[in-house]
Amino acid sequence: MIELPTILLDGSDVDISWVSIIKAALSDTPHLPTPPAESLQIIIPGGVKGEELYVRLTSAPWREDEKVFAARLYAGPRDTIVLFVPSEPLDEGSRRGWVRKIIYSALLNAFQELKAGKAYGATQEGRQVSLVEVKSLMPPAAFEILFHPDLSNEQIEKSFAALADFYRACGGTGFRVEFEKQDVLVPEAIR
Amino acid sequence: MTDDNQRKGWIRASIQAITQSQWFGIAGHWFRITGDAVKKYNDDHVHIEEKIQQAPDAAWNTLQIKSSQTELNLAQVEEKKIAAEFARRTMTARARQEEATADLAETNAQLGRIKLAEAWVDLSKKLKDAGVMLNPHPDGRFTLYPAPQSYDFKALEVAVEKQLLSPADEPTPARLPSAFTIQQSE
Repeated sequence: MIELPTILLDGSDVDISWVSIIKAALSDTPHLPTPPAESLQIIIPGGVKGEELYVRLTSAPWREDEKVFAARLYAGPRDTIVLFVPSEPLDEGSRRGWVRKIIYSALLNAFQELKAGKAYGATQEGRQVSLVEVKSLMPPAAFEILFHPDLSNEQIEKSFAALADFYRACGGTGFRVEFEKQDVLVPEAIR
Repeated sequence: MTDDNQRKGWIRASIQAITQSQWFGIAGHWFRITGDAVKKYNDDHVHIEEKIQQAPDAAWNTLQIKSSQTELNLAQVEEKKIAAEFARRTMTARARQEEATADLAETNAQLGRIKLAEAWVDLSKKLKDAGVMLNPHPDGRFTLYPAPQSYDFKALEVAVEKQLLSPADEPTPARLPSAFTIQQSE
């Protein structure tokens, strides 16, 4: 059984019911985050009017040229789920209703399959893998920096600032940092 | 374990990106790609012996005093930079739109890679100035050492820059099932 306790909306963790999620997905201007370049998307075969529909779980990057009207789920660490809908605005007329129906059906199928533990994923090579296996492909949500004891205050401050600045140059906002003084045994010598 | 093994006190910093969507998105992707490139250079050119050493107690006490002040300074500086970054991103709607368009264009073009390479060169120079060697690990950890005299920062800079500018590590889209393209139903 896979628990899906948290939904990430606009970059903030909030508790929200499935009904609210579906409503958000179906609204004209859903307040949902832009899909990350590398998103895990859950593959759930579904169908509307004979068409097969997949919500994919893969580490592949989001493709701008994908003209797929499907809801997307992003399974991150700690069971955070991010819901994505197409970045394209929904068209007017009958198509909108059709697209909404697909999204609605896909979401319902996705949640049911996830709760039943029947979801599966695919690697970038197209190989089908279990959901647990695919989730293990995710990079860790946090990482550690170990500073050698011989580094001075100035060296620590400058090197950390340089790394954080580089992350900002990559497009990030910054790092939250927590220190712990540690007497550890680690590989030390560099020749 | 050899006789000259020493116990050393290290400072461990737990790092988390401000927003997960950025960390699992483009920003985190390029950060990790760069770490991988540095790791590759280190694996090929730097010999790290698996020595475990014990530091004297005096050094540990000194370290504790030193790290407290460092924590304060470092966290304060980073908080200010994050606030400035948020302020920069909270501009007028028009400016945001223009910037978003520019960012998108850059992301989709080689210009994005050039910008990344420039940021890497800047990082490399800062590490060299600080005399710190960056050693990324496969599990995402970083260890930072005083750079050995033999460490060739220029060679590192060139090797990583070359890799960042190469399209070889461009993320490849998954092979989608043909049924993934859904036609409009009239």
